[in-house]
Amino acid sequence: MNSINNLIKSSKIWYARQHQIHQPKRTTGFARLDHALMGGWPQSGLIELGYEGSGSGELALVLPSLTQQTVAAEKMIFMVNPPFLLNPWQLNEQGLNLNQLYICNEPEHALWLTEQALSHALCEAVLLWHGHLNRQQCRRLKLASEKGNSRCFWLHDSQLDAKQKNSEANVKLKLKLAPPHLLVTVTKITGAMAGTSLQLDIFEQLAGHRR
Amino acid sequence: MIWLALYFPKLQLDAYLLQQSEPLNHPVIIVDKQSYQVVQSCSLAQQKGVLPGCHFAQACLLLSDAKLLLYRPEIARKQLQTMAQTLYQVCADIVVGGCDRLLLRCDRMLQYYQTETSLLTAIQDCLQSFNYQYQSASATSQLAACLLAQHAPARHLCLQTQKSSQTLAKLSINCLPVTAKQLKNLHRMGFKNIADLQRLPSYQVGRHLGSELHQLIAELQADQQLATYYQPSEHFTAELELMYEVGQAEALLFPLRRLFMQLQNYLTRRAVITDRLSVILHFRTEPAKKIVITSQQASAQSGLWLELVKYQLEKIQLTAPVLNLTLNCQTFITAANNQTNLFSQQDHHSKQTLFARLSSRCRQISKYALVKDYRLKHAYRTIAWHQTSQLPKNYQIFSQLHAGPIYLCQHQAIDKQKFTLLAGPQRLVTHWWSQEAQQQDYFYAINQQQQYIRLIKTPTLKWYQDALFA
Repeated sequence: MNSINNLIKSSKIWYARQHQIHQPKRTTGFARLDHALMGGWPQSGLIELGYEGSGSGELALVLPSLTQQTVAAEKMIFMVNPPFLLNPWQLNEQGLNLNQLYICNEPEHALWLTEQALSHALCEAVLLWHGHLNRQQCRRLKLASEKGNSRCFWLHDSQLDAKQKNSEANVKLKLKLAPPHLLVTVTKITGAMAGTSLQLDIFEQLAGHRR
Repeated sequence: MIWLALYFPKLQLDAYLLQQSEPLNHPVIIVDKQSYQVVQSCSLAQQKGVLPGCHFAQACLLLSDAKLLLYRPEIARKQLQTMAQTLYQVCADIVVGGCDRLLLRCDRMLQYYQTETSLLTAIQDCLQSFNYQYQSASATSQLAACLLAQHAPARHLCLQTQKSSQTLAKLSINCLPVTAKQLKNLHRMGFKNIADLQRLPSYQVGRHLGSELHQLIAELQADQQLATYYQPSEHFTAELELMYEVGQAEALLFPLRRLFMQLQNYLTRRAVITDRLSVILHFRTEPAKKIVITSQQASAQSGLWLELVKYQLEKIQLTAPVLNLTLNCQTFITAANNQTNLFSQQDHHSKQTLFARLSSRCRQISKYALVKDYRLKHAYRTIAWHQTSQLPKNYQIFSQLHAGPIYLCQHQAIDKQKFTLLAGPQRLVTHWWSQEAQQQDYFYAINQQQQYIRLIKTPTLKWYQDALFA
């Protein structure tokens, strides 16, 4: 035991969680999720959200961290290839500044645009709806986000997980809607133990009307 | 009059070498196909004994691995035109002489510069941006300046005419631009250098040597003919003759960099910027292809334009190899109108840079603006990325009505599906005063996939899925 302590003191070995502590975090807006993610979303990097069909609470989980209170006025948020038309009234209601929000619907240039936007210093986050991404593509997005100190939320159907065994993402979450709860499983988190599951009540207002 | 002659002995060769991204490890020679003589040779070829004037066959014996290029004077002429375009900002009186020299009349320009040195420094700066080898000399006549620049160049740019006349006098008569027969006659009569000719009274020159030589000697003293000065075009045009055929669009970026640098120099000197330019690709048989590049952010920076043209070239698939490139710029914006303070508006400027890049590929980048309307379909509009929207007055009333689900579906008719109703109906009756009267009952429900959705029931009792919570 003494020899291990000596090695730790001489910095020859280190705890994995030390790496996590030094990374700046942004609150998710959900205290329980912040706790599961060791402080919140990473300030920069790739965050993978796998869900079972659109409308599984993926935006309700992401948008609270992108409100006017949390994002500086000059920063930009990109939504690339959303699967449906977005309701700007709801985006505004959730606290997003519509002047900071840019929508792009060009699937053939989606990855290029995401990379360009992420690496720009004025980009806060990119929400990318995209199917399978190979390791190289994930790596490029991750590097771009680190360069621009921005976050990339990659939203996709969790059926893709069968294709992609090892994720390059800093954080990977699996979402499953079980009304009235949203089940969130942390399947990967850099520098910490994955496997945490939690329940969030994101549609509690609607669920309250349940007969 | 003071003329400064700039002689470019290897203009075509220099243009070729500058197009190479890496230093060449094999000799390059340029051969005149009419005389079969080497007209230009690189330093590697010269080290092996192949000098200008050497016969082609001899050059081939000495250099087995040499790259041969045909002498094409039109390439040099285009380069001279481009240089004259740049030098025009420094000296307005320029004569483009043949295909290897430029003549700058400096006596009239000196009044605009405080000293002779400042004029020469400005000229030198322009020439350095091209990176061509040149020799220079000054004299009181065009012909004298040209002869000196070619055969007895000064070590550096200078305007010393007294010294130059002494140097000119010492030049051999072999340097004179005369025919072989005239030269033979001069040798037979015992003339060795130009001083010998100048010592002869002019009436005797005419009588013994003929009118042509008489005219030539007179031109050495002073200009006899009116000079045809260079007139720059109103727009920027630069051409680049590629020394090899380029079949891949991406490989055009390197030669284009040179053209964009010329454009940057052109714009910077005039204190203007541009937001639109065109690149024309010329092929051997196919019609030329024009690529128009626009930028949201007007700029003179070659880096920005090169990046934008790179995205355009990535889209293009060349059907034939490119032989020639032309860069055109006709739109100029005064830079003062677009100058940004170092400390303010940097964000705006930086955003423009990003969107200039993004919109070169993606045309559909938009923002949302809220509109006061009771019908959700008409309660917002998309605006361009650079426009700013304001929240409508009393928007909270409409927000209560429209906020809720985040994904808006195209109305899908529902047929025999099970739902768990959560809330509703909420009836919306609007536009009863117009022909677009609308009555809808909204229901909130959970579908079989456990998704929270919003349903619509019409007065005709038809059900639609309207939106999805996410």
